[in-house]
Amino acid sequence: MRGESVMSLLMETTEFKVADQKGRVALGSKWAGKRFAVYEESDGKVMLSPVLVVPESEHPLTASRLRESFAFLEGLTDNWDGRGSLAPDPATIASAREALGLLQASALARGMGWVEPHIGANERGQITLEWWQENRSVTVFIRAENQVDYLKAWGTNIEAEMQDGEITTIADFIALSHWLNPGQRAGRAIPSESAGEGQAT
Amino acid sequence: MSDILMPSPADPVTDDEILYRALSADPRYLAPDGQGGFRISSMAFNDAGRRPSVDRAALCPDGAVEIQARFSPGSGVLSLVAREVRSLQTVHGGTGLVYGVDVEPVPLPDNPAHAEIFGHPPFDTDKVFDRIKQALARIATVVILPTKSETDLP
Repeated sequence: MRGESVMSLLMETTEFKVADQKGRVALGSKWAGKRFAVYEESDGKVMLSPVLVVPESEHPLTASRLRESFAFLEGLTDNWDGRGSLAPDPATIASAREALGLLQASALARGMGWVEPHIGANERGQITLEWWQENRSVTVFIRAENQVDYLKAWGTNIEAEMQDGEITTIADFIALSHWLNPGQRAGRAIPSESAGEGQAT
Repeated sequence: MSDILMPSPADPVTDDEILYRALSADPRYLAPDGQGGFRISSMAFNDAGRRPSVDRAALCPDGAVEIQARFSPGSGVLSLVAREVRSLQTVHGGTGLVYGVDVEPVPLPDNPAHAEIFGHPPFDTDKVFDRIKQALARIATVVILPTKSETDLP
């Protein structure tokens, strides 16, 4: 999930609209209430891009906090666990930071609760984000700059109680969040203090 | 004198045997569950060769503390039952190949209790091994909590 591909999750369709004499553009009801950033370039081109507005006072989402969350991974060296595991490379760590920031922003923008994931790494130097809720768990794997997938589990039966797949859009992650917390709806955020560390949105 | 017969290091692992898994001195292998307990991260079963090492309790007269002492200061210890490990199996999504999970003795000169969890056929993809690790984390229990060692952690 490189920088440009992450941003493309927010811009999945392209349509042309015409502004009226007062500069107003009608986008259609599906965009009602959404917020947009307007970019005007030096050659006169104007881009309208949907943005996610994060209620930062409740859940600070800053570059420094993200760096802090992943800082311990940056200090790892190969065989960090005594089991021969590789240390994550800087590009994978950067992708994981980017992915986590985007996932958090998308969850908060939908009024969903957010609990920090349990951040780890596997033997291949891939980064894992784990959430648990009762018997359910979701593990997101940042395997490389452009490869993010998940494993969800609700028991020990590897065939009948686990499922994996790729995360290619924000909607994939939101669906996982709803699966992990079936009672949670947009606008009913679960306070992280009561959810406890290691539990998910 | 104990009447319990200690197996030979090369003897097959029986279904009833308890297996210990050592964790390095890093609390990040576990996450508080909010109810006074812990969730075990699947990274507790990381292994570069996809054959997670365990120690046979039957060959550890001093129990889990022996594992802790052998591995590293402050390390933690998990336990599993061989029967539950062997009950795990998975099918490769693409090929339909059925992977069984087993444990066999691999005694080392300095650790006769050493054994390894392995797949037959060997776990050859990340996704298959991810599922195995997830299942192992779910059937394991915490015997000794790892503690943070400032000298071991970045």
